Amino acid sequence: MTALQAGQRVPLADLNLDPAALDVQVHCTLPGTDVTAFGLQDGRLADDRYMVFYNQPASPGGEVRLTGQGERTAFTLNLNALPASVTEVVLAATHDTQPVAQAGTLTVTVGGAAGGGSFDVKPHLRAEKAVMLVRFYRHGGAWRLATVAQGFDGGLDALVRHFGGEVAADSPALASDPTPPAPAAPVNLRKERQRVLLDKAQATQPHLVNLIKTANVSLEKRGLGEALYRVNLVLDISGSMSREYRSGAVQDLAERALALAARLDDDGLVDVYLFGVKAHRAGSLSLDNARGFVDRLNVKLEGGTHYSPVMQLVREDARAAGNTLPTLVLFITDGGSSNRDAVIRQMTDSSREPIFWKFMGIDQGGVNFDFLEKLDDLRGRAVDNADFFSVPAPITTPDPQLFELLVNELDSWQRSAQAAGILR
Amino acid sequence: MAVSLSKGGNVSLSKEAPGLSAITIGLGWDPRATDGQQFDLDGTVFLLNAGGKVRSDSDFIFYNNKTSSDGSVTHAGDNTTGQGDGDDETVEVNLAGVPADVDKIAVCVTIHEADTRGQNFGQVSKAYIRIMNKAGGAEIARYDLSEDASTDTAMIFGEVYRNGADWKFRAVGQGYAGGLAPLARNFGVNV
Repeated sequence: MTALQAGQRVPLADLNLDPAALDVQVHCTLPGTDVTAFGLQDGRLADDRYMVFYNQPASPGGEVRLTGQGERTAFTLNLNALPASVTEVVLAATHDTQPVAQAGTLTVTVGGAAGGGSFDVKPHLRAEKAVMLVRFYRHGGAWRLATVAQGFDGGLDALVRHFGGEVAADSPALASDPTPPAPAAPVNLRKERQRVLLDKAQATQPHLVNLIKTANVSLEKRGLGEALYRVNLVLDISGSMSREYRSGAVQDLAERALALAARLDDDGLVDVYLFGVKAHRAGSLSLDNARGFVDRLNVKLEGGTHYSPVMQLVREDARAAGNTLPTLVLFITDGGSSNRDAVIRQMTDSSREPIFWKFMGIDQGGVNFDFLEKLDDLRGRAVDNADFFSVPAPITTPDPQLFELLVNELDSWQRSAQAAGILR
Repeated sequence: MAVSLSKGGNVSLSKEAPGLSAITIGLGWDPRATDGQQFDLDGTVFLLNAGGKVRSDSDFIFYNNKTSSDGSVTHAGDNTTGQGDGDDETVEVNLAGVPADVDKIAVCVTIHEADTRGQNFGQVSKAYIRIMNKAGGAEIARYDLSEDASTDTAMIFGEVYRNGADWKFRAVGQGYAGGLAPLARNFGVNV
């Protein structure tokens, strides 16, 4: 077993290694470190299926296979079987919150039937939360091994941007730019985030997994599979809603909002607001606290329904967040609002902001939704920034249909908001 | 098409490039994409007498002494990050103007502060050194530093030397421990 130095580039044959049968082991003692094998085309992550990690344990032809997890992540590689489009395989270690160098031990061992090498990565690291450990690459008709030990303090995001943002050598205008744009990166990154959230749901809230998948279908159908939104949930706490809280209908709706957020929001967080006469911020709903969330809110019902103050609060928070991402507001109510002129002003003013209002009326019978209908069709707005639908109480709408209703018009708003320069 | 020289191989420049009167030495690499200190590669030229030593310190042409006293060698300046297209650093040698008591011109490449930064050629993306005919820019020889010199931090790339009335080039490809200062001392420079 040869001890490898950082920066070494060596034909596998020189290490007595067979590219068709390689065992690679990454020994990392920092809990929470993920080790991923990225199959790249000239430095770019061109095909997600060649990204092998715990949630996708093998490449399409089994050329790269995850065979062990935990402190010792193991892969078996048959580099010769990879399609020509995969020109290199990079092994990377990433951690969400800590520099990977916090690990007491971080070594890579490349072995086969005979020979092999080991690489002590830790001494070469600084504050990187994402580190390329080693790479196997085609050079002059043979596979070589390079010991890299370089990475990014920004973690997985920066690493994926690196893999998406490599600039082709034949585009001089871009090559001279010190920070080339990374057009394809957010896509792959989003998928990775979504996988992580789905994985987390699987582990902690299995009942949410199907909801997330159902939400995804509705989004994909509208071309919103890659869309990125902040998701807000605004809940009516006027007295007439008491039955909806007691029956668990509000909790059900909150979980559906969370399922949307798991697809639309990088953090998978839903900011929750309550309103009756007054408006209240009620914290964030996430996969970590979803169970019993609405019960724990200890909602004190109020004797009135005023939309305007809570709309104001939502707009203020979106502004404070920099309005860099659009905000999807799921607004749940069972009746009309007082002070309608103020609400109409909020709607009109916010039509120039990257906020889309989705009003969901819970129809208890006897309340008419004329005002919400009117808001949906309100004139004098920069773009149509709202949609309204109602469902009968108790809510028995099947989920596929409910998600359709929840994201209806979101795509057309996004397009008109982009065209109007409201949304980048 | 450049002559592909293996380590130790030599070529007659005057035969490969008839009428060759000046060469350009090009050094290129990609800027660092990962976090950490930049890679700063430096190209250096030493004018050497028959004994393999500089005649004086001014025969050591590098980023702080950009022109030889006779003007035959010019360093175009120091690129400290590898930013930009094509060659990042170039040194031009007007062979016709090289004084008669200069027998040999050593062409070297080093990584600036390699030891303190913990860097070597293999960590640099697409690092190379090459020699071209100044007239027309045709490449005469090239060395892929990232691949072939991966664990080195300083290298004697090659030497341009007199062979009678002709100039020849030898691909030395010899790694050199310690960086620019020991390399310069080796050639008799007071550093």
